[in-house]
Amino acid sequence: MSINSAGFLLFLALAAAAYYLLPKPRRWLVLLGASAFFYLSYSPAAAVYLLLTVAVTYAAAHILDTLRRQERAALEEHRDDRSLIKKRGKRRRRIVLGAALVVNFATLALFKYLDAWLGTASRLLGLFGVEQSFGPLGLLLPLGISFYIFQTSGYLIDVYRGRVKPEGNFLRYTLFTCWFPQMIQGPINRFDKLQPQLLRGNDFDPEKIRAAIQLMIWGVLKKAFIADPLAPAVAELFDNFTQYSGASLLLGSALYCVQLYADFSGGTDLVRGASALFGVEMAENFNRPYFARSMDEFWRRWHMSLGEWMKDYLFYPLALSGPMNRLGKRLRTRFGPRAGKLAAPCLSTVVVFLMVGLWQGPGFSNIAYGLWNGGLMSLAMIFSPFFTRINERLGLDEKNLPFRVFQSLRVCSLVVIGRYFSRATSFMQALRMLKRTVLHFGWSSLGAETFLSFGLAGTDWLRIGVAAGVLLAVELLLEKGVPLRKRLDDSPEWVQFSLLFAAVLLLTACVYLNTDYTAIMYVYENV
Amino acid sequence: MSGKKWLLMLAGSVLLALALCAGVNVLADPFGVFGDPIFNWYSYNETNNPRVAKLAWLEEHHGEYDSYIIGSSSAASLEARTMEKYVDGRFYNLFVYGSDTRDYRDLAAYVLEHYEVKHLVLNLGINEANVYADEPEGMTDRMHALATGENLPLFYLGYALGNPQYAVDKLAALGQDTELPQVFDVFDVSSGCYDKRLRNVEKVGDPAIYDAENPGAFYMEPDPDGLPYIEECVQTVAEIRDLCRERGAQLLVICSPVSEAQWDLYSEETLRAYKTALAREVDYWDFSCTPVTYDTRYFYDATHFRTTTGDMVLAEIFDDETVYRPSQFGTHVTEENCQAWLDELFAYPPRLPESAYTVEVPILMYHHLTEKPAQDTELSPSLFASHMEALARAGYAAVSFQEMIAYVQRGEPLPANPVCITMDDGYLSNYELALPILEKQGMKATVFAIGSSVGHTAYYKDTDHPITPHFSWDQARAMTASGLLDVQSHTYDLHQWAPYETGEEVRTSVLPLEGESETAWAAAVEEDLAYYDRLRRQELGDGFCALAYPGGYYDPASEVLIHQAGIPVTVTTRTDSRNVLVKGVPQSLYALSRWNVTERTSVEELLQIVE
Repeated sequence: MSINSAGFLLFLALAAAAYYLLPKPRRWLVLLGASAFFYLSYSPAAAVYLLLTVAVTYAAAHILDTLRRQERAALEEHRDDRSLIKKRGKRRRRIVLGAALVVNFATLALFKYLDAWLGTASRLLGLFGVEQSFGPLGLLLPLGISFYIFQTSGYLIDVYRGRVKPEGNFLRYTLFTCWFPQMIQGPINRFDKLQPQLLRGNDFDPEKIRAAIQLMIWGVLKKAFIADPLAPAVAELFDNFTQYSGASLLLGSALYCVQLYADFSGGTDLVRGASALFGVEMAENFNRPYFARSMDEFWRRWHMSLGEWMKDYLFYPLALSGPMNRLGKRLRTRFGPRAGKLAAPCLSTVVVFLMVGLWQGPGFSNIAYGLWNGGLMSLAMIFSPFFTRINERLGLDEKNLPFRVFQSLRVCSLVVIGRYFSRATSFMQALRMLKRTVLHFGWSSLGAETFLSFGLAGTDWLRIGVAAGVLLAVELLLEKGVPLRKRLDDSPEWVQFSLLFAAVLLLTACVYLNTDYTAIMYVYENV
Repeated sequence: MSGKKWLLMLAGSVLLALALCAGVNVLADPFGVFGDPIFNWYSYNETNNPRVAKLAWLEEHHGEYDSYIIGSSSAASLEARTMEKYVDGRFYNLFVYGSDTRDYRDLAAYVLEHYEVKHLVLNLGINEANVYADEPEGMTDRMHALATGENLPLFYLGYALGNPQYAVDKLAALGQDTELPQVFDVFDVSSGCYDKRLRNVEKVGDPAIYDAENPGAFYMEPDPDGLPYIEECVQTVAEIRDLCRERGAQLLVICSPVSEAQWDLYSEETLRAYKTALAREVDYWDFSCTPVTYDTRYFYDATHFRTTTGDMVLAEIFDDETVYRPSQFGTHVTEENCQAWLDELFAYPPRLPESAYTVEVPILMYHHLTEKPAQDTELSPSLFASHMEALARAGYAAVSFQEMIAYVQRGEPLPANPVCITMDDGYLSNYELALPILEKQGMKATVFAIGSSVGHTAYYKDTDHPITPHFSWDQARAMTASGLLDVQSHTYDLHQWAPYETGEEVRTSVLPLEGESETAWAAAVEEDLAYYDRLRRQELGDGFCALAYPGGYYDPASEVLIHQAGIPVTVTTRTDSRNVLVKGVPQSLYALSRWNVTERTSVEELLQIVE
């Protein structure tokens, strides 16, 4: 079921109607039923894998809880051996958590990475003259696997840490894992934030429903009028990069940044809106990232739910771990207090972004993408005092608008370079594209004709330009703190109606774009 | 505005948007579902989806018909008007491209139950046993709910709220519509057949030319599955038979001609099983494997036989002796004779040698004879005499266009080594100098005379511009009376000589003038053809049968106009293809090549040309 289709809208409307018609205590069952229907309509086989993850994490959470309770009981019983009991309890829980996480991430690896790794293994063996070919297994990637694996892993760690009480009801836990809006495009939700909303039976609130629908419309329009039409031009530039000048490739990567943002943030708006129709607010994922003034800020504004997951479940455990502490101490003794202080965060940042790169997919290009971001942020930490001094000498501060624009443009440039790696199909392709960008830039090639050579017509560019212009204007106003939503809701009714009707017309066009259509010249080819 | 009010406004906006979309869909009606109230452009609607549009059209017009042809796209070559020549009925060809026997049954059942039906012709190919009950995928291939019995309001709602891009496409196509069919309007609405005017003027005689212009037309992918739906096909045919019996309609089942490419895909065992099973249920006429099977010129492509082949089929069934068809063409199959017929068919495949039904006729083009030839359109009488003598000595027989037409249309024989001699423009020298030479050698020739120049011996039309003398109608009568020198058309006045013309519009060929409307151009050409024909009837006793394009210029549209006017032969000045006449293929007389003969053409070179 495509999320841009009339079928999806109908499904949402029926599910919402059923939700609000049922008595409050039963409403979560509608959410579960709708999620099950949505997932099964995608693939019954994938539903089996999802159910396996649900079962494993459900059981692991209960074992963890039981162990914690046993530990507590033992502590009360044997007040003298507290540290021993604690240590033993912690070890047991760690084993259970570790085993469950291994199973979880192994599942993810099996579907997402195994084929690529088998290919690499075959090639490596080939280098040594061993003619052994593995795979590919060609397994169907279950919908939303990256999201539900991270979400359930976060839940397990929270249970392990005692932050949340495990869900006792298997069906309710299943709902937390397979809540259908998050299956499409995330975000990665936290159990303590999501689960109460799913279960409590939310009131029908027209204001919230309005906000939800507005968010959905906004998301669909971003996807349909910016991301989707840009996709073929970006594909053309990356797929046939040898035919284009460096300037065109740089433009291609910049267009990809726009496409990806419109697609990902649009999709997130759509699914968050869909979830909010049922009164369930999912985690934020984007906060106008291209206005960020540092890479660190960019990553706090881009795919926020992944960033926060990484921070809570990987960065801090790593940065505060024993080995890191020891490393910091050693460096402090040898290179001074600053080196000691920076060692743990810098190294942890690199590791975290390596994981962010891998989260996107297998392959060296993703690893390189992760290292590029992690490396930049570590360097920023290391050279931060140096930059601060320069800024002070130049008299630049945060209030200086041109400086802020410069900072944002600098971030955008670094992101554009990084996207060479995440969009290219291989690490070597990204390198060759970068080489072409540097050595064969060709300013003169950037004429109006160049734009028409990417497979889009002038009218397509005009449409995309207008849509992107509207998006930029809206985001600028929001960035400046203008309460656009409130202003919209307070504007004269005819303005609201005109905007709404225009949006509905555009939305209708989007829905039709996704229905079957065969141009008459292809309907009938030859007598 | 409160949230509640906003939600109501949203619902209103959605309803308004849907109403707008429905309005566009209903008014533009790209599938003809709603009676196409504004444009009444069913040729377009049927191209988009014939399953829907044809039935919608019949709902309004079924009173004009009492007989129907049913089948898939190959049935389009069974012309409704040709059927009416043989059967007392008003025929509509209800064929649907890409359909299968389930569609046939649905359509047959609907027309039998709701309309008056005297005759039902069911056309079956091989593919009918190869696909069955293909599920429709969208608006362009679903069947009308009238025929399937689906919920009608839902059906109409589906088309009202369907993708409005179809409506927009139709509106855009309106601006590009022309008299002749294009890819978006391929149907002849009143007969239900395809509008094949353009396809039927494609050059066919020389297979090399046709193959180059239609690459892959006769290639078929191997079909390892055989014919998996024989049982379903035969069962639906039996259902149609029963329905016809119930309703008192005459059923004629035709197994239409199959190309060699398609016939060879299946084993003898499979084909026997199909034919035998069919014979158990109905008697049928079988044309699937006949001599035409083995020659691609009787087909448009591997799965579609030509309309003219369809004419041969109907002529065989209704025993029309005026239409050529090969011997062993078509068998009336019953359960009793089926096995014996199949035994013979597979024991002695009816392949004929090409020489039995094709002949190559080179055409020579002369102009003016003069003692002092100064240009390429002039030739000395002595050289002309040498040419004629050499041809006669080499055993060539000069033939007239009437003989070539009789060969193609009726299969009448042509002499061995035929050659065709033509002379353009209608010069007096043709009468004074050429005729005696032809008489001496007993050779036939044809003059393509410009009508407006006949009898002008000194000046161009009514000007004082001197011209080479042209013969008069009296002289033309003498030439045709000789039986050796025929006079055909070089148009009446579409071969104007621009420097001598005084009017603003100068027509130097049959092609349209710059910026001329399609209608005005067609009217001008048709008027010229009709005038020449009338004049010739008046002066020589009958109309003309061959036309030489002035300057050699022509295009598919002019070919359509001219052949539509009933002129079976057109000749050009092109030399890129051989003139291969094929019995039963009238297109083999279209746009024939001619080799220009000048004073520089030696006897040896001439013999090389005709060889």
